[in-house]
Amino acid sequence: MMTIHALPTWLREIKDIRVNAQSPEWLVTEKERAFNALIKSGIPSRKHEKYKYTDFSFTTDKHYQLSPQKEFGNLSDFVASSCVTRHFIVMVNGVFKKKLSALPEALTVMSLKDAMIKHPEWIKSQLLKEATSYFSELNQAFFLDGLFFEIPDDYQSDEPLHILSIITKQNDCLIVPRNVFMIGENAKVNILEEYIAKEGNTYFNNVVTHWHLKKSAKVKCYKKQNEHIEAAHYATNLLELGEDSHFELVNITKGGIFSRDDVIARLQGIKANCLLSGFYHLERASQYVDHHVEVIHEAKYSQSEMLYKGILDSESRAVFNGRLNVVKDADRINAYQANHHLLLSSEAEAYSKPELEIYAEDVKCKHGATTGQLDEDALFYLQSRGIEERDAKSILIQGFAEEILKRIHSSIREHFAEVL
Amino acid sequence: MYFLRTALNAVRKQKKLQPLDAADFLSLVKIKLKEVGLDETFLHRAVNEGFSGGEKKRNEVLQMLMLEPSFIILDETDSGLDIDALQMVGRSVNSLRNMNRSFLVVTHYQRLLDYIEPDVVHVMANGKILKSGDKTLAKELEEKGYGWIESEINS
Repeated sequence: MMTIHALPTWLREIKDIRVNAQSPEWLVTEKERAFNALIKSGIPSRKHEKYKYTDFSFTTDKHYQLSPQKEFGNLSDFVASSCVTRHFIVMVNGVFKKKLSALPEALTVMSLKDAMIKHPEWIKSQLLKEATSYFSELNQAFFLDGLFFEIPDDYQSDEPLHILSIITKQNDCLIVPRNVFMIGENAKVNILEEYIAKEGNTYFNNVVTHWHLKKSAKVKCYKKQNEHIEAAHYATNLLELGEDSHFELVNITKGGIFSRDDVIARLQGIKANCLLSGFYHLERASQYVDHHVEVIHEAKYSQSEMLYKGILDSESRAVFNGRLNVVKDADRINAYQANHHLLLSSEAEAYSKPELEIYAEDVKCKHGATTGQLDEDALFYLQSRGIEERDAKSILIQGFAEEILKRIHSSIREHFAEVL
Repeated sequence: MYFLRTALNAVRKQKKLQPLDAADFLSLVKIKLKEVGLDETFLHRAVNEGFSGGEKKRNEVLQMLMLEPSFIILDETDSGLDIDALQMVGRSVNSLRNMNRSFLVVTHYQRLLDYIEPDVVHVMANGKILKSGDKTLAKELEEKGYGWIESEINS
């Protein structure tokens, strides 16, 4: 049987520049393999269960090329006005810029290229993990660099560290950063991960990030996706949680025409705990947001929670796919997943799909999903107290979002207020 | 609390007054809270934590005191209230009474009227006003019941 794959022409054309002179032998081979896999399977169609509601037409509408990394001018004023914490790490078009950053002394922060020299075997083991989607494979084939940081054992800091990822004018560019974060034993760190565009443009940011948490490490990651409204954003987060470690994600999506987040969390150590949450407020007609969250309980007594909430207006679309996988013998698990949507327009669409796959015993898993409109009675009540309709709606929206937004570190919560 | 401040400032805007800032609002609401007998922790309680019947009534009276509407309908405010709360409602209503503000108090009992002295009393049955009078009419009703009015109309 012959099948016709959608294969954008740009994909073949950028073949030649996917490695550089310093790339180790294994990486060249791996990139070769990844590239061939991309050509062979083509852009996934809606027949794939994972992409059932996803419209990838942006991949064929545009003619992407790899970011040329040319001069981007002086960004120090832009950085100064965008950073909201004392310490920050700046990435420009997917490349770590040490000179623009203000790093805490105790941390080891470097480009992925340098990290491959410092920790060759460990980085290799991370980078050779199997692809989780077509787009993580795309990153595999084309990434050149990215960010690496290592939080030392027992490092404890409450003050959020801002990772600011800036895209300069990069029309029709494919940006493929690859990040690897290693959190040491008993370390505690709060991170603000922000994506922002300096100028308007139509790039495709395809990020893959590895998080490796050692024993008793605690990470809170607040993500603000504030890409340009015409850009596409695809982020793959691969988490490995060691014994008694905690990872909390609060993912706030604002920008982009297409935005997808794949989170694949492996709870490998006993008592590992993973809280994943997100909020999005879509107001633009063709805006699309997609969260695919997969938690794999591989160890006993591990816990997880997914809580995603979204408000949809105009003709926007949102997809949530939560998947819980409890492997054999990973007993005594506690897991919860929920997804709630508020539709403000009759043209907006929300798709919500929970999946549970359980092979262990003595497991507690709950899931729930709701889709609704603003409560007319509540709206009337507020208006009866003299509040204008527009303000009354915004009070109700704020109430809906509060459950997620209050999880954000109080020192940077204001930074997220604009999404309401 | 956020709701109350937004409401108050919406009303003030219509009255062409400057909006209250957070500090002024807070000192005002604290005074009013004391008047209705609610604790300050009440300000930070989320709606989904729930309120008791008495707290809901006190909350409504608090809104009345804060928003100072020009026309106020109290529909069976006295049902389910204990004596203290009833006195509080009476006190609050009386504090707002003046020449420019009207109240419509709906009740089944005369009891509330010990605290709020009505100007006019109407007796209503099946959607019609059967009889009107002054405060003595309410006292009369308390003694004789409603039956005599209906028989008076029918005769």
